[in-house]
Formats: sequence, structure tokens, C-alpha cells
Amino acid sequence: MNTLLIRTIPVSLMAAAVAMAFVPKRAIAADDIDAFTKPESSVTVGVGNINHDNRYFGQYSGMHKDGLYGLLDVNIAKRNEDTGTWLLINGRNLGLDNLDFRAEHARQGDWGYFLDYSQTPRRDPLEIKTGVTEIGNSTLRMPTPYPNTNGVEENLKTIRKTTNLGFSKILSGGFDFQVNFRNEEKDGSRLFARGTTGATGGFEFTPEPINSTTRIFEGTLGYTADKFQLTGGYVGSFYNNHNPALNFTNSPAAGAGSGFGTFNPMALPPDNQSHQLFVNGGYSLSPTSRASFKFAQSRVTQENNFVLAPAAGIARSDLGGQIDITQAQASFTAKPLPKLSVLANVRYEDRDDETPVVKYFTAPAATATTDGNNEPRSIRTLAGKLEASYLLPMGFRATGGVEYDEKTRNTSAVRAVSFRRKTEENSYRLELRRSLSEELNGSVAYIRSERDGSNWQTTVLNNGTTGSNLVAPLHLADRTRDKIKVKFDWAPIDPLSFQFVFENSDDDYGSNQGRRNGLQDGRATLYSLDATWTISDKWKTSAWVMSTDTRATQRTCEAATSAGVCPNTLADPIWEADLRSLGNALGFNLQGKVSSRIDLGADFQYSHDKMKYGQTSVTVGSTVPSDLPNTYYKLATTRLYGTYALEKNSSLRLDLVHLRQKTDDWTWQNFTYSDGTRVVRKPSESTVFIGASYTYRFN
Amino acid sequence: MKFLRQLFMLSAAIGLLGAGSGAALAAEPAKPKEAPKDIVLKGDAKCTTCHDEADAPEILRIGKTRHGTTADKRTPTCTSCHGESEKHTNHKGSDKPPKPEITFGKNSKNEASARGEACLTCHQGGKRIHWQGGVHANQDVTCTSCHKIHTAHDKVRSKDAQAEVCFTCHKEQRTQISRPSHHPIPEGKMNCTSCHDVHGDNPKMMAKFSVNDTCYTCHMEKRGPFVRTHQPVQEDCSICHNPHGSTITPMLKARAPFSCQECHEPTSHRGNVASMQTTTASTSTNLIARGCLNCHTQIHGTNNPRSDTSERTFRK
Repeated sequence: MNTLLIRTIPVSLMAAAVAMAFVPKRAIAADDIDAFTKPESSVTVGVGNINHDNRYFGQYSGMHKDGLYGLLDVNIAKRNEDTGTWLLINGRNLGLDNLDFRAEHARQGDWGYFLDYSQTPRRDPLEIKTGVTEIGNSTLRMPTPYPNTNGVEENLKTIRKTTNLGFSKILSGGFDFQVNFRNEEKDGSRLFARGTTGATGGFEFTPEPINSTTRIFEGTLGYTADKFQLTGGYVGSFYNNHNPALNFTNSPAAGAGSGFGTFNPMALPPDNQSHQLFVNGGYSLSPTSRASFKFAQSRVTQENNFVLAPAAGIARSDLGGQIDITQAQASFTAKPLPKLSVLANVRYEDRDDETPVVKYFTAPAATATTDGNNEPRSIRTLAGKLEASYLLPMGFRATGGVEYDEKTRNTSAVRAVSFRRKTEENSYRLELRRSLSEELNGSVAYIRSERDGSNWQTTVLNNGTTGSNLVAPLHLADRTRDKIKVKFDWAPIDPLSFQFVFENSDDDYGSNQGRRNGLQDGRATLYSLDATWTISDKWKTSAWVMSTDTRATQRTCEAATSAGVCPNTLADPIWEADLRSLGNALGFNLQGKVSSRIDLGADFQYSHDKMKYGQTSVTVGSTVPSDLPNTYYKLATTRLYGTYALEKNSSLRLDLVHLRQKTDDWTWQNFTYSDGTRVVRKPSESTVFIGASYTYRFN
Repeated sequence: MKFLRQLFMLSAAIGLLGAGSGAALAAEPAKPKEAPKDIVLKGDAKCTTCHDEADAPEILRIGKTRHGTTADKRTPTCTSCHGESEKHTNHKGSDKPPKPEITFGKNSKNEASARGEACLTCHQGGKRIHWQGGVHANQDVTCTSCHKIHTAHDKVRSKDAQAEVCFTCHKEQRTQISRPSHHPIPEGKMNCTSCHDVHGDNPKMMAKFSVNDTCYTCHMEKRGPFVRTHQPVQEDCSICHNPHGSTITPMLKARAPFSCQECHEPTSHRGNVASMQTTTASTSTNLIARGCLNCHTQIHGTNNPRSDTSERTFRK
């Protein structure tokens, strides 16, 4: 049944409960043992009703419209006891947009094959009224009149239809072989835009048409022996976009909306493909030591024809994109002493972009941040880890570890942001853990990470002069991170247990050779407490509360010169954003058996996320800017369910689900696209689902 | 009560007398004691003699699983995983017997590596080649921390219930997946192992060697390469995105323009204060609607080779 709405009790648990309800413990006949030991099948049919349209909760559920829905789940599990041959058929949400179906036939320990089909719908929760037509097609028709504020309601949606086929065979001598093929068709449209400044420009609502096929083929040969295991094979992945470009008709020839002439067509993602050969292996050197490795060599290519011919004189009709990727890793784990464990590994990845460099943009301005060439991006990663763990008295274990992560990137001669060819991050971890106690287990860990790198390279304009260099990009900047993790599991008495988690992480971004703007510091804190209480053999309850607080402070300049001088005046100040996300959530669950035939359950979850956007001026005397309004999201989900055992092998189930969400998010508030399109995020939604289903089980 | 007890004693005495006289008359040899029969697995009688359907029916449900397929010669028996446990099986007396050699419950006294070894004896190959080097193994997470062996429906292998198991430890993600912009995990269309190889040793336990390789499995249109590329996009999707869920569509860590200003120089319009302005055709409209992406819509890269103004800045 639909997971979001119902969250079914696993059929096996239900079946077990029902079986026990009808079979007194001390009077189980031999035939009844089969009920415990043989695979079980079930069919569930039912009907459910949703009270009205639900945009938020209907995003992926396949039940976004109000009305009645048929519910059908099938779970067939048959095993030939003589041959060990299984027939497994599993269908979920059959008949709905989000259905899952899988059929598998396999002789265990010998051969097997399966077919898997799944649909994943996504409906954009935004309400859209637009005059743009032909949405979903590769040529959009812009509205007349322009703008048109009396458009019709449109729903942007996509659906993925995924088919998997697989075959496996266990060969003699420890070898096995697997092939898998996945085909995914994705159709629909998603939010997209075109925008340009000027009196005849603006922001247009131009949904991207999606019609693509993704295919992945994988063949693997494996070898397994007591000490040595090896797998190797090939993975080919292919992306084919049936809409390489987005075109437009009926754009105004003059006046409003006529400034998009050069924005037709817009290029959409090009076809690309990857071929990979890989091998993974592991060898147990002794009962307590093991070495393993992985190696893969891939080539990604992109040779899709350009949607427009390049400028005259450029003899290319496609990019000729090629990235060669080498990935390797070696690991070693050992227990040289009964109380001492060690782990070491080294990883290497070289993503070498071999795409030919061509001057596609023939005449960029002198102050442009490009010289006209395309910019292949190569990146090489070298990482290593060394960790040791020692068992102390009273079940305590102390762990210490160091990690190293080095990234080396290329850049182009002309660039728009400050650049660092190499970054290096060292991390140190200390942990004390206790995990073999019946009452109190837990761990305390401290991790410190320090990232720096090679000298900064300045931005460079097309005329060779140095541009602005006020910001250290967040993934390249010097950063010190201190993180602490505390976790306790406490079971004061057998049926009652608590789990407490605290995590705090502090980030401090360094001076970065004078690049004082960008991220300054950050903090993330989490508290969580869970409690589980097994009240009796028949009743069980759990509850949890959680609080998170994530903060970041970043700084920038209202209007720096192209040479990177910040005016730092009242009109053009340096300003700082204090971004904060506060989350509070709780959950409660109760499950119980009222009688031998009746099971009841209740589940409640509530979350409240609040975002704060503080903005302050660093420039003395300036009152600009002001804080932005806070936003919040509240979600509350209540599920009540009950099952009634009709017979030994059949039951009725009732579900009542209430979903409520509220927000004051202003993202789309008072905004109208240049073409007249309006987008609205509903501030609240309340959805009620009532379902009844009948399950029949059989061996 | 006294009368009842006397009656019982009398009956027992008569019964014994009868048995004795019967034996004397027939003089038949005593029947050999019948060996206990297996219930599910070959050799399980050693355990199911006591732990039968009346004592512990839940352990018999292993028969419903792949581990209960006796036609497969590789199928284990109880002692394959729990050890021969002679002290446990030979225990006499009314007190509680010592535990089997290997136990897997939350109060197990066996080290994590010993519990893992019971499974890895058979399951070390394939996707578990690198288990020992992974974060889970080194945090004392064992196979049975997540898997239930004696049930046909192992929650962690179920597409719609797996996340609940992972949230036992991964608390932050428990609420993130329900935020307005999320992968369809609560709806049961994806689960944690869609992206994470929990048996492997990749950083962040990704299913593929890197974050981007993992994301490209479903978002292959972002793979490129493109005429115009965006450096952090090629480096790591998680620089900008939080794949576990966000209040900012599409799963962004920070909304525009703040996200963009974490890298970009404040020249031209890029340093503008975040504004509630809704005027179209203005670079000051950097927050409302899609913010910077109102214009720079091709943020993951564009393959349009024509001009240096619009394509360079990911606008068409």
C-alpha cells in the first residue's frame, strides 16, 4: 500500500500475529509448523479515499487528486522444497502512478532472473497559471496578448518509468556471473526559465520539456573462495535526450518580451555515454587481517550535435567531449593483537577532461571573464586514512585516526572566481566507545579537520588584467572544522531503553590571502532523544524528540569594481548575511494487541523548520540592508490503523491518515513572470485519507 | 487439597505397580529412544529439541527465508552461525543455561568482529568484499544491527521500510527526508541504499566511487561534459545540494543569492543585497522566484556554443 499514507505493518508480522491468534501456543499441530517455516504469499485489495487535492503530499504518492483509489498489493512467494527454486512476485500500489512490480524466478545456489518495473511520478506542488502553451513539447508557444495574466492552470509533472532485467548464474569453481539492464524513460516538464535584462527582456516562464531515455548495462563476473574474492566487469551507461533544444514561437516582435530573440533555441542537456571496466578484490591474509582493492577505468563521451552551428570559422559540429576517469583504492585491515585493530587505505581518482579546447566565443569583450574557449574541468583526488582501535578494560574501545584528502584541479587562463589548484584537508579523530554492556553503551568522538591549499590564483579578465578577488569559494577556502559527537544507549530495565545523541560542528573560514568575503563561519548542532518501551507482550510504544540548529555567516560587497575594490560606502556597503535554519521535530508510535483478533497502531510525527535570514551592514553607519522575513514549514502526520483477523489466513485493515502542512514561504510571493505567468505556493494543506483493505494469506 | 494430594499419590503408586507387573509379564526390551527430528534445517534438532514451535516459534521462521532453503547445499544450520555451543546444549539443571557461543542480540557479549565473521564466512564476496574497511564495520555495526535473519521480511531490505532502520542511528536524516524538497524516500520510491553502499568503504558510503558518480545514476543529464561547465558542479554535487532534503527547492543548502555569493565575486550585480524585489528584467530580483536562476537557468552547464554573454553565464 502507499507508503507515505499508510506505512503498512509488514505482511509477515501481521500474518504471524494472526497465526498466533488462532493457534494456542501449546497446541500447534505439525501441519501448523508449516505456517512458521514455509514461504507465505498474500494478496491485499482495498479502497481508499482522499478528501481533496493534495499538492504537497501528492508529490510522489500517485494520489494527488481527491476521490476514490483502488488498492492492490500482491506478494507471492513459492519455493519448491525439492529443488530450492523460488518464484517471487511482488506488486505494490498496482494501478497507481507510483506502482512497483517485480517478478523473480531463481533456483537458489544455481541460476536466477528477474523483471522489475517501477514508476516514480513527481508533481510539482506549485500552482501555476500561465498563458504559455505547448508545455511538455520542445517548442513552447508564448502567450498572446503578452503578457497574459489570465492564463490557465498548469501542473508541471514528470514520471520515470524504469524497467530492470537481470540474470545471474553460479558457475562451478567458485565463479558466478550476473548481467543487469536498466531502461528508464522520463517524461514531463519541469520549472525552467529564460531571463535577460532590459526593457524588452524580463523573466519568462519556459518549462523544460523532458523526454529522455537512460540505459545502464552491467555485466559482472565474480569469484569467491574462502580467502580470496574477486569481481570484475563492465558498466555502460547511456543518456539520450529526445529534446536537445527548447524552441519558441509567437514571441513578441517588438515591445515587451521581444528581447529574447537570441534566446531561441536554448540548449538542453546533450546525449552522453560512459563505458567503465572495473575490478574489485579482497584477500584474507589471516583470520584477522585482510587486504582489498578496487580499480576502475572509465571514459565519458559527449558528441551530440550542437543545437546551433558555432560561429563561422569553427569547424566543429559537436563538442567532442571526452573525460577519462581512473579510480583506484587499496585497503588493509588487521588485528595484530587481540585488543588492537588497525585500518589503512589510500584512494586515487583522476578525472582527466580530454575535451578539445576550442575558441567557441570569438570576440569576448576585453573585460569579459572568458577568453572564448571552452573550459574542460579535470580534477585529481588523492586520499588516505589510517586508524587504530584498542580495546580497554570494562568494554571500552579507544580509536584514533588521521585522514588526508588532496584535490588538484585545473583552471583556464581567464577565470571568473579566485582559484586554488590544490586543496589539502587533514582530519584527526579520537573516539571512546563502549558497546558490550547490557545497560549503558555509548561513544564520544572528536574530529578536527583542517583544510588549506596551494597559493590562490587571482581572477583574470580577458585583457589579462587582474579582476576582483574578494571571495574564497566555499569548497576551496581555508577551513577549520571541529566536530564532537556524543551518543548514549541506556537500558535501565529490559523493556525500556533510551538513546541520546548530541552533535556539534563548528566551521571557521580562514583569511584566504585577503579574500575576506564569502563564508565566515558556520555551526551545526543536533540534539536527539529516543525512548522505546515494551509495555507488555502485547503493547509497545516509542517516542522521540529532536532539535537542529544550522548557522552560517557570510559576507559580500554591494557593488565592487571589476578590479575588486569594494566601495564600502553607505550606498554600497559591505554586508553580512546570518543564515539560520532551526528544526524541531517529534514522533510517537504505539502498537498493540487489543485481543487475539485485533491489532491497533498509532503514529504521529510533527516537524517545525524555521529559516532566518538576517542581513546586517558591516560598513559603519549604513542601514542597508534589512533582515528578510523569516519563513517556516510545519508538517504534522497522524496515522491510525487497525487490523481484525477474520480467519487464520485473512484479515481486514482500516487506515485513517491525516496530513497537514503549513508555510509562510515568500519565495513566489507577489511575483509575476514577464509573460504574465503566476506561481503560487499554497500556504496550507490538510489531507485526510481513509482506507480499508482485505488481506488473504496462503502458503 | 490434602485429599487431592493423597489421591494423586495413590494413583501414582497404582500406576507404578501396574507398570512393574506389566514389565514382568511381558519382559519386552525397552524401545530405543527416538532421535529428535529436525524441524527446519538439517541438524537443527540440536536446538529445536528445546526451541521448538511452542518455545520460540519466531526462530523457526528462518524456514521462510533463503537461509531456510534446504535444497541449496550452502544453506547453514543453527550452529553454523551460533557455534556448536556445547555448554549451552549440555546444560543440566533448572537455572538459566550459559548463552550460545555466538549471539546477535543487543546484549550480545561477542565482539562485533566475531558476530560479523559468522555472516562473512559465506557472504564475503560480491558487494561485501570491502566490508571490513568500511565505516560501519569500524563503528561496531554488525550485520544483525540492521538485518533480521529469522524473518522473511527483513525490514532493511524492504524498499518502503528500510529508512526506519537506518534512522536508528542516523537521526538528522530522519526529519530531513520529510522536508518540502526531498527525494521520494518517505513515499517508498527510493531508499537509503539507492545512493549508499552500506556494505562498502567508499567515502560517505556512496554507492559509486564518488558522490557525482552516484548522482549521475539517475541524473545523467548533468554528466556532460558541456561547452560551458560550472566548476563545483563537476567537483561535487553536495557542495550546493543536500540530498537528504531541504526547505529550499531543489534540495539546496542555501537559497540564491546566498548560495551563489559563497563563491562569486561581488562585481556587477553579484554582490547585491538579497532583495524581496519582484521586478522582472532586473538583476536586483535575486531572491524571489528562482533568484539568480531566473536568468542563469542552465546552472549545471550548457552545450550552446554561440555567444560569450548568455551561454558563458549559463543562460541558454
